[in-house]
Parts: sequence; structure tokens; C-alpha cells
Amino acid sequence: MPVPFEGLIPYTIMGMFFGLAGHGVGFIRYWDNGWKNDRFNLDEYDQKMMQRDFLLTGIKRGQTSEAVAPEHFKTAQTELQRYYTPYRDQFFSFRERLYRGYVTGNWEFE
Amino acid sequence: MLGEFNIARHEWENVDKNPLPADIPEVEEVGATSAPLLSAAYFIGARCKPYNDDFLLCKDANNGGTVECLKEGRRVTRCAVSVLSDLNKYCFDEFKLNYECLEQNNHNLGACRNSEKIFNKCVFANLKLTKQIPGVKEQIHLKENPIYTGTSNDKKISKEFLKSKESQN
Repeated sequence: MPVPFEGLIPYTIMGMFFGLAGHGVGFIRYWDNGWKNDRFNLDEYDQKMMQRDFLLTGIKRGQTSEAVAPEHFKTAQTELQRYYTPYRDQFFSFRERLYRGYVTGNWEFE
Repeated sequence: MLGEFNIARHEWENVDKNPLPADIPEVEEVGATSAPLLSAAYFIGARCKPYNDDFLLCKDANNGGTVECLKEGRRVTRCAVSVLSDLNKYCFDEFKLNYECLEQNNHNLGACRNSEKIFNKCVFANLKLTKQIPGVKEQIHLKENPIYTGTSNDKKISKEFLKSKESQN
């Protein structure tokens, strides 16, 4: 029994929306990485090197083949800082942003 | 002069108030990021093997040798810098082709064999360095039919690169 094509139209539309969502997120991630593919399977060494790359270039996923580092790189460092919350990553992030605003006085929610 | 006491001052120069003591030798740090370093790793190894070995022997002899092996460590850094500056001088475009491919492919060497071949050719010709992967039966860049020959995008970009090189000459 052949299925009339009208019966498949809803499924086509649903499939198209799935495709749109997936490719849309993929595109945004690609753009956010500076038109580069995601890194994956990163070990601690890779994380450390990406941290170092950031200190050298100043942009996320930036790369440079400069032989000598700028003078300020010798003493550059980054430290991960977090404010205290008893519900870390359990509730909505906007609530945590509000809390951060109260604590630090920084109300710029980008 | 009074800038330190001016509360409206929101900009200042970030000067290191605790510099290293004078008895620790100065060195220029390596400025290349992860992908170029991976791309150049075997060439750095080829030129700097004696310095690297010396450094590791020093560390073995001094129980880690954080302070004792600073001099040897400085030599390792200087040697790596010399290789990188030579690569930038003689093979800048090929180097860039290879490390940009690596950066697109999660630093997977197998995905960038085509651009690596071009880069190798330039380095062998200009810097006279060898590529020697230690502890393997067969060197991958000498293999006739490797399993991973590079991604299709790498092949395409390499071909375009060769074409543009030819049209320049």
C-alpha cells in the first residue's frame, strides 16, 4: 500500500526543524570559535596549552607562530575565580548573575 | 607623580614588582602557540636534541632540579626559539598552511598529511633538519600508502596552495 505524500508532509517539516536547530547550533559554535572547528577530547595538557595560547594572543582560539613571546608574557597568568554559592550550577544562571551583581556591583548582563 | 593617590585613575601600567633575582639568567620565552609548536615539534627535536637531553639528565641528577637546571632550561628555550624563527624566515607560508590545518582538525596530525608534506619539503630543503619519530618501525612521512592521508579539505587547500605558489614563480 503506497503512502500518499500528503501524509508525510508533517514529518518532513519536523525533520527540517531538527536540521535547522542542529546546523544552527553548529554554525554558532563554529563562529564563536573564530571560524574554527571545536576542540574535543582535551586532556589537561591541551587545556593548559589553550590557556597559554590565550595569554599569548589575547583571543579565544588565537594562534601565532611568533618565535619570541612579548615581554609581558613572562609574568602573565590567569586565575580561575568563583564566588560562593551553595547551589552551584543547579538552578538558573540568571539568578546566579543577579547574585554576582549584588556581590561585585557589576550589573552588566551580556 | 601623584597618580598613585588619585582615585579617579582607572588605568595603570602593569609592572612586575617582584622581578626574578639577578642570579637567574634572562631568556626570551617561546612565543609560538600550541598548533605551530605541534607542527614544528619534530624539527625542534631534531635541532635541539642535545640540549633537551642535557636538560632531562640535569633534572634526573638533581631530583627535579627546578632551580639547579635553570641554565639548561634556558638553553632549551633559546634553541626552540631559533628553530621557530628559522621556520618563520624560510617556510612561513608552508608552516602556516600546516598549523592552520591542525587548528581546524583538533590538532590531529593524521588529518593534515598533505600540508605536512609540503611543509616537510620546504624544511628539508631550507633548514636541513630531519624528521625522526623515535621508537617506530616506519616513519610516517616516508610511508607509501598511509591509512590517514589527510582530510578532503586539507587536500583541497594544499592543492590551491601549490597552484598559487606555481603561479607566483
